[in-house]
Amino acid sequence: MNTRERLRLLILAVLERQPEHGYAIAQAIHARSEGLLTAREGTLYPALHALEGEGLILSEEREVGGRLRREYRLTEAGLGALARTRTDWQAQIRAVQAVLGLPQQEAQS
Amino acid sequence: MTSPKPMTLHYWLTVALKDLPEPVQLRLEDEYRAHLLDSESPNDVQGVLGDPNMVKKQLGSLYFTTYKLKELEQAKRGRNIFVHTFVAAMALLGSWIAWDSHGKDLTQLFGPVSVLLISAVVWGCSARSPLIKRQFVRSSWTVSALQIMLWSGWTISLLSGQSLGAFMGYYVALFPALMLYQFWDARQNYLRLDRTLRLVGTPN
Repeated sequence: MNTRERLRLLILAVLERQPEHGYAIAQAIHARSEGLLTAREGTLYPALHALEGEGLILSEEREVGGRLRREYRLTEAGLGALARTRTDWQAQIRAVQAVLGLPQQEAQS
Repeated sequence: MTSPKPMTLHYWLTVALKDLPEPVQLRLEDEYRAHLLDSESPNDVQGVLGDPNMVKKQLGSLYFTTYKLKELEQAKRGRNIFVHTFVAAMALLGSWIAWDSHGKDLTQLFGPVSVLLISAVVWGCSARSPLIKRQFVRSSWTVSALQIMLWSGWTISLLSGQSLGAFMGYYVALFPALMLYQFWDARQNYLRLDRTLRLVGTPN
């Protein structure tokens, strides 16, 4: 999985929990990965626009804390894409674990 | 020795959003400005947002520039008419060959007639699209139409046992892969156009 695909997966996973605006998505990726993963923040918005163009997420302007912010949320198509990507990612992890001789872990639900 | 001045947001946006249509620029400016205000280091533009040239490159793959949109709005009717007139002329020539051979040699008709039929479908399917999309689809197909007509003629000649030389043989074999790439590229550009027009609007 290349960097671009990984960023797409991370964005979809964050939005699965709740709608967020761009900065909150970047912070969520950083926080949930315990600082290991960072969305290069300038490149976050091209990724968001690409996902919106594909119909996987939608956006609308909302007032948040007295300021107008553009909030993104997952669509049904986005949920499906996330589920498929998760399955592929888990398969890749199992394959690498098998090659490295590591014990196979149960997939987290 | 003085340290270089930190990059301003205005400069960062000027570089990252250069040449994009104004509605696209306005939306992205709002998002980047809000992002920077939320960050812990709003004065460190490049530290927070990264290299504007990298962002420009990524946005360029998503949206057409203002210049490219204006180019797409220009009708390419002259080229479309020229190519299809040529294909129709080849269809007439193929018809004459078929008539002259008393119906024995219909192979020369296959390429031009197929292309004309596909063109009719393309024109019909795109008739209700906004002008700029209509022109894009028709213009993209016209580029392929002539190539497909020529390729089908060479393929039929090869299958009939005629020798065209090694180079043409390889070309005939590899042409479908080239066509697949052209169609894929045209589809990617159509999606780019669609994405751009969602923000810019579609005058017709």
